[in-house]
Amino acid sequence: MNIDIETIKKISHLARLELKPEEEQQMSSDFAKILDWMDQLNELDTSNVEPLMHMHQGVNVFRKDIAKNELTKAEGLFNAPQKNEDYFMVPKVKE
Amino acid sequence: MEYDIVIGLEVHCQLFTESKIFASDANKFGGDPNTHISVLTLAHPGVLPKLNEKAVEYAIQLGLAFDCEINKFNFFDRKNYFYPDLPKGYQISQDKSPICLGGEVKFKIKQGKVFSSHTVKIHHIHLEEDAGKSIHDLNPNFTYLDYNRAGTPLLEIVSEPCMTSPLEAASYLAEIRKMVRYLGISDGNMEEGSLRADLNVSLKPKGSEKLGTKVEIKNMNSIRFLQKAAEYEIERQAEILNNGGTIIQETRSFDPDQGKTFGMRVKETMNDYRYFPEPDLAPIVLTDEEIKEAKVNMPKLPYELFETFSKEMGILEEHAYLLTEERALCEYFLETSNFTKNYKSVSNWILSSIKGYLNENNMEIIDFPVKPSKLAELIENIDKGEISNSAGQMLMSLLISSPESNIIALAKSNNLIQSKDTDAMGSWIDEVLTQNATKVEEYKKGKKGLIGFFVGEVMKKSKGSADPKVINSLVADKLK
Repeated sequence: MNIDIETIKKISHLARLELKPEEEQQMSSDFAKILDWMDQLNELDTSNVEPLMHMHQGVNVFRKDIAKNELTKAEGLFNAPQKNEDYFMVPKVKE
Repeated sequence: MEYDIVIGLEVHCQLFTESKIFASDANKFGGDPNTHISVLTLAHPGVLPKLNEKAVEYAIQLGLAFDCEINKFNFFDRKNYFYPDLPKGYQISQDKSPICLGGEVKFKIKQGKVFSSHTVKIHHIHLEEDAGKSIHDLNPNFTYLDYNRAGTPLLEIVSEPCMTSPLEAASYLAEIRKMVRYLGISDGNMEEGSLRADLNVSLKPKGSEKLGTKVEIKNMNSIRFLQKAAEYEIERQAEILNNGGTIIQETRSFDPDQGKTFGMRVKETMNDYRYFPEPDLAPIVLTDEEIKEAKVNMPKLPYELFETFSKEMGILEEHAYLLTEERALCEYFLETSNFTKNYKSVSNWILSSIKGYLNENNMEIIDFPVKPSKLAELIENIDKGEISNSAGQMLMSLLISSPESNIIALAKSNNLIQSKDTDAMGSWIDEVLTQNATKVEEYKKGKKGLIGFFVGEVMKKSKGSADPKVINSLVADKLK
């Protein structure tokens, strides 16, 4: 299977990965190998098999609607790379 | 060229639960920033979401209210995108199996005295989580984030593109707000963002089957603005099409100050949400019994009450419409109607005197001090002729300050019992007629409308205790 550079650019953008041109080439051939390998699964006819969404068979796992605050503001902000006394801070996202 | 207008709405409604949809931090508007948070809301590694059962119950109730089919097997999906208001890097939503399918919203639009009936088809309603709040204007170099809102349960109600006028779209949104408040599943507060709508507008040549290119106007937070934005957008698109142009599929925003929509600068992000089933949450399997049970817990709905009021209880449609605007108003009306059969009078009292008082005092009907049973007693006494209508009004204001008082005792001590003493009335009438001799002459010459004046004067003398109908006939007799 052939994965073109455009597709690689798109996927790396969606994953927020910055690749150098030579890495894109490498990624393209690696990707093709992975997809070829996965493609073997298509040899099986799964048209009558429901997709498996969960490894566990349980359903209806609910929580009662009870509020409790388990984290203070200071605890919540503790590990933030950038913060002030009230807010998490990130580089400006609005143009 | 003439066009058909095609409008569809995506309405987001925050649910009134105590805690968030997948975590137990408080679901509350406002508050000190980043105080309603948890390790889940902040997307710490290794944590697992757990679904709030109330959010599911509320979703089912709204679905039943709009006659949707309730999906008996639903699961959640991940919608992947990077934005700092969503620390996980994905939003948990429902893509493949929304909890409610189909359905319709029925409502009436009142123009002048005429009501028209409308039905807007729903495509589906799904459950999802709200994002946090980004604040861009506190610092020139940084965006600030407050995650209090992140994880608030949301219902997204997606209509079919079937509305044909801005007024219809606005009324549809108003009906959704009314319904969520009725059911008590949301406060429907648009200023605080509990209810917000994305508006899709397109035009197609009249009679054409093929839909035109649609434009989406994001985040409308007022019903009036939604209507204005739709009106503006229709005009804008018609002008482009009339000039031979083409509509660009884009997202626009509405500036209420200018009354115009503007294209939002969209970066070429190559967005692709790559939905897949959420592995951290077990599917929801609903049985007919559970759906039935949710139905039992629901109050009677506004359109059902409108029918009951107007068809069975003889209330004017216009009044039934006003009464069903608010659930608490309906409840007050229904409770009063348990004690008296004069439903029309109950509705008149609520819609004129009581509503007037509530508006003046910026009060809600639940805080109104006079109990429905008292109002009914007052109405019964007026109907029996014990108290005149105008004395009734005075008694109401007395009751508001002492709601527990016995009505007859209160009327007696304030001289508001209707006088049946025709002798007293006779002498009041004589006094009035002598004092207004010139008007009596005019009346005799044919100005019959003056009778109202005489009756009014006599009423004044009686301090409201006389029955105006009796006075009217006595005065007419005297002036023959």
